[in-house]
Amino acid sequence: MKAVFREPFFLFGLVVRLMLIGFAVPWTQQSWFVPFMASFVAHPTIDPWGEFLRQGGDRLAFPYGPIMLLAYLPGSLVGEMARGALGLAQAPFIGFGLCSLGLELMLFWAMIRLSKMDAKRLLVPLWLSPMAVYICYWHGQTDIVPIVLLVVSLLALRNHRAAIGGVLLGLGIAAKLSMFLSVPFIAVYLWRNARQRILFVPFGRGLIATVALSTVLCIMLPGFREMVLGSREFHKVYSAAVELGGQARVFVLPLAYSLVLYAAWRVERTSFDLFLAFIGLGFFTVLLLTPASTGWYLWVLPFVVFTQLRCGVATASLGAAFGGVFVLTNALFASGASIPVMGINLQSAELSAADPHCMLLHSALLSIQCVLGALFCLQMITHGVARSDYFRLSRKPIVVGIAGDSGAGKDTLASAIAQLFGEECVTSISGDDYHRWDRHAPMWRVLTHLDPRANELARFARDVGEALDGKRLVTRRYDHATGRFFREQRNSKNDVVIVSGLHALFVPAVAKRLDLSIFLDMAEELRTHLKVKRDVGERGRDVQGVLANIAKRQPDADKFIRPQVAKADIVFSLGVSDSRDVESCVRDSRYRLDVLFRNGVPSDSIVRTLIGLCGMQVDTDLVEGSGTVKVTIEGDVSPEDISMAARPVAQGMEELLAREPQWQPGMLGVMQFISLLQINDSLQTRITHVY
Amino acid sequence: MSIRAIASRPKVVLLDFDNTLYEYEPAHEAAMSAVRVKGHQLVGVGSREFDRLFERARGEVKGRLGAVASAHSRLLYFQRLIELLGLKTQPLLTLDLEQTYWRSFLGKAALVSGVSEFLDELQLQGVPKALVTDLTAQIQFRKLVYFKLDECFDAVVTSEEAGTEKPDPAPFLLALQKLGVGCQPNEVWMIGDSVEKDLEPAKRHLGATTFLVSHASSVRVAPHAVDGVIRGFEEMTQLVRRLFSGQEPQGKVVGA
Repeated sequence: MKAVFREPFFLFGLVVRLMLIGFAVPWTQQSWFVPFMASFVAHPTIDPWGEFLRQGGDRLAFPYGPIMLLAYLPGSLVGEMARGALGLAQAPFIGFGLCSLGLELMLFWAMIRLSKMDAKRLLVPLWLSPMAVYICYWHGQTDIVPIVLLVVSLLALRNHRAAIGGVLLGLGIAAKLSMFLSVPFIAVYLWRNARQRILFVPFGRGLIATVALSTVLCIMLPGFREMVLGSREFHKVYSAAVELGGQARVFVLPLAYSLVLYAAWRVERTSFDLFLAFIGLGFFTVLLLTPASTGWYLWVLPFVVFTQLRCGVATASLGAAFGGVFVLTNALFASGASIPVMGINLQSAELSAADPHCMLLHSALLSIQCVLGALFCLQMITHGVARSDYFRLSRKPIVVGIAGDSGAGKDTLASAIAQLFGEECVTSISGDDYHRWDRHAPMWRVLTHLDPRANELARFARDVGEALDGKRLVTRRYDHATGRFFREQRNSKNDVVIVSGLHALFVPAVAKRLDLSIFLDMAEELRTHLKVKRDVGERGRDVQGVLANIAKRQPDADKFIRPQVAKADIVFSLGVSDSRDVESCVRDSRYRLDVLFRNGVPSDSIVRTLIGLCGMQVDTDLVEGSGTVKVTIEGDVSPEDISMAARPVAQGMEELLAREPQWQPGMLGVMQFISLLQINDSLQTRITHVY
Repeated sequence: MSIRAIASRPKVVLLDFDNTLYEYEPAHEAAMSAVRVKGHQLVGVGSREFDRLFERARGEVKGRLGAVASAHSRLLYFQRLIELLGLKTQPLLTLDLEQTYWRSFLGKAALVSGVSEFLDELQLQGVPKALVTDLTAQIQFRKLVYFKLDECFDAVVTSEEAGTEKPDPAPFLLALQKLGVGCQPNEVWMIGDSVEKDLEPAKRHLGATTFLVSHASSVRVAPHAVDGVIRGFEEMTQLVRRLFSGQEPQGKVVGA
């Protein structure tokens, strides 16, 4: 940020602003704002609006709430004092302008943080925007105040400071009621994103409390009621209307606004960028469908800049052209400023739209501006909405399938992956719920669980399909403790579906829909060791019986479970470092993980980060003639190191992952890491596939 | 000092690492505050006390070891810090603090703008480049992997390997030896953040053209040791492009 202050572009923008602040006297400020502020500075009162009217002031002078007053108070105070002490007539205007400049710098800062881009990239679209300079310092409007508050509120929201965000937006609304236009979009964003939903209530609370305090109290003041609430600006909502014949009319603005809002609702899962684009569209509908005041155009500026930053040169030029035509139109038809030291007065509009000679020009310019604005909106939609990865993803959740023999750790891995995305966004479907009979049924004497015939795979496939469509699931769940089934209803959460089970990759209807298919294996010696330990140690069976049981199941495992390896993208096989001494390896957690990447070379970052950042031993082998790559990993790793290693990919997937992804230590963490990278790869191909 | 005046192409480019390719201070600050929190959790030492002991431990370690790589070892600083607390040597706790330090450090550290493009440009022009850095190889290699710069250098020289630290000529000479090139004055470029440790010795021993990387808004430099001051690496990329554009290098027969 500091470096940007030395940039020539920044200095140029600053000099232009300071020149305008120092020498220009905008008509709006001379006729309205500065007299109002002067009246307040001279007679501080709880109802400055009433006081101003009592002194015979113009009722159009300050149709804004108390926050606007506070924002310009410091500059006005110093300015009025300087005028009194030094007799400098320009001083109050300088004070007023410096307040705007401070706010603009704040907007610049907030936009850098919000866009996460290098400050230099914002210089041209934002700092050198002729629209901003014209509105703030030549036309002299104050809309910068609510816009700063809105952008800072969005920044707070992005950083999960929901209550503060609510308060800030409340202040924005208290400064200018029109900021309320953004509220429905924020509500939709928070409500429709499972991850953000917990922010909904604190945000709402902060917002309502602030609006209530600052606005509702003011409503009791008669001056406020007359000047702010009686403002003629509200009636502009009804200016665009379509005659339906007879006396019936339809107002276009509420219709268009509702449509944009409905679109935002329908998207379901919105990325933050997309959410910003929707707020921008909401404001644009007001600009394009009302005879908007000059200052209103500042509302769309942050959203125009965001779109410009994200899109190519063509869109950026379109935005610039929109700004250029806007400035031209207003320079001709709106009030301007005078420069007393040079004896120039351009305060009154050059041309009047009411003049029949100029009407055509005015309409023509407005039409061009409207077309450019509409085109820009279209770009916002295509870029922000259609090209957003999340827009596509919102129609299709991420699906992970985990197959493997019993005791391989499917449920552990499934829940570890779920913890990366956040439990509130994940639907888990376990194959255990689809055993045909409960544990006490006589059929198990002739069939093992491993036999597909002992499982209701058709129902399994149907439920997976319904979960993918986000339908309500009514499933039979298997209780491992009692060995009985019970009935459960649950809502599908549409972000991530994890399907685990003995036959998760066996059913084609399920296998086809998987983004990542994992086969979970375990080295024979480790599996036997764990099973004997559990059944003998905890369940009191004899060793021979347990070994015999394992041997009896083996043919079915080879016949029904193992072949699923052929359908898996990756195979995890957990073993121990020293197969001759399983006992001590398990005790000291000296594990070895073999990972087979069945579709060729894995992402380069897996091996490099495991060696370079996690300090593990990694061997890579190409299994001849199969296109399969085998990676063997040994060593121990802390969740913190895995988290650090995953940071680059996690940053790219930020809006899909839990706010604090839970990483596991050791090999389970490595499996989480590899699964996440593979999911990311799969999403990338899904996205490139579309184009 | 403008880099526009520089007119001769480099044959070799040497770069310092810490605070040259990334900004050191913010990363160190973030790492120290993470370690302070951990220190408080594990042994209940307050942050002011922690800072005081850390300074003292560092002073002792540095004083004892002199100008060698291990004099920068955070592991030794934390070991001594814990001993100063009166807790005897605590290997596990020491390792924990050290790992916390580097994890948080890397989490905050970010490459200075344009570094990767600059190194790519040198690669494209066939200019060999070496990293010459004080500190132990283990942590420097880890940083290189983290920044994905591990493939970017033809040679890396750490002071652990060279046996002495900059401004001693040994690390610089070892780097040139590894690159296998002999150089005339002005054929070596040295880029670093310290006049005293990077630029002045490179100028004196190798006759290098020197560039100071500055993160501060204004710097005062000794003009004889510094040929250019840069804030980001974009200007260096521009410079290389300019110097290598147009005619082929002299001595090469064109079209014959």
